[in-house]
Amino acid sequence: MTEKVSPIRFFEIFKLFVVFLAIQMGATLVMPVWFYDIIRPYFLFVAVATSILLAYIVYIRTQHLELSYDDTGFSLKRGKTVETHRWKKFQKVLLVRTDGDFLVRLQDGESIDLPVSKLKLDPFSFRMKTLGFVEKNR
Amino acid sequence: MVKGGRWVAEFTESERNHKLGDLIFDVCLTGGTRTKGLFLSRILSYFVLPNYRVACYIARIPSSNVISSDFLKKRLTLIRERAKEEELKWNWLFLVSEDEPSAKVSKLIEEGRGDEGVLLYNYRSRSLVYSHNLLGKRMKACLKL
Repeated sequence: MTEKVSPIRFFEIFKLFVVFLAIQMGATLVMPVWFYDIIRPYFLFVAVATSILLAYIVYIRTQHLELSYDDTGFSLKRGKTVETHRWKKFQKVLLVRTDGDFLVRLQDGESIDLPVSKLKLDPFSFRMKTLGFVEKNR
Repeated sequence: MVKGGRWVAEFTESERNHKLGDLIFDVCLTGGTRTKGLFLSRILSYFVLPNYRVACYIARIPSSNVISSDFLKKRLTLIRERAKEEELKWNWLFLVSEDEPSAKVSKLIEEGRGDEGVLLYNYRSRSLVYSHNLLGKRMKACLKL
């Protein structure tokens, strides 16, 4: 049975929202004053609304993660890019701690990182689960 | 591994059922001696701390009676070979058993030759026997078991 994990990372959307809002705020500094006077009553509302929309679209297209896995393999979708692998291809399962995140690294010549912290999975139990899949398919 | 303000190394990778030669260790931890942190910690770590790669091999043994000089020699030789291949400067062998080690086993570990830190932990009595070299003493000082 295939399991699917695809949490929405609201903090990432918020970061993009802040960037888009800052760009729109910055744009007012180079606008002609007469034009700014026209849009001023609606500016904040429009800027916030467009920033939320743009942040969500950019997040879904570039950063959103979706992991689906079953006994035979897994598929990791990052934005629009999809990687599909079979467990039997890998020999080693490592739990790796980077600056703030945990990754489950699958190795056999090439290495694939599953960003477990970003997928909001428990790194320790997911490592054991992955190890079980890899050992079963070996 | 950071504990109580005392620091031995920063382990960043762990592998279960790690195969080394014909042996399987329950856990293998690898990392480095440079800490990560915010900007100032990184600068301090870059200038002050050595940049060594380190490894710690953890194995559960059925009884401390299985430990002999050949038992340790076999494991430490494999650890040394891998250390040479992968430039791992500091290495620890951490054995976990259920029973109290005999005086002979304790002496064997404490007087162990070589640079590797060897530790034997009895999780029933929570006692620790360690090699009296730099790495053994350092790990003993940092662990709070």
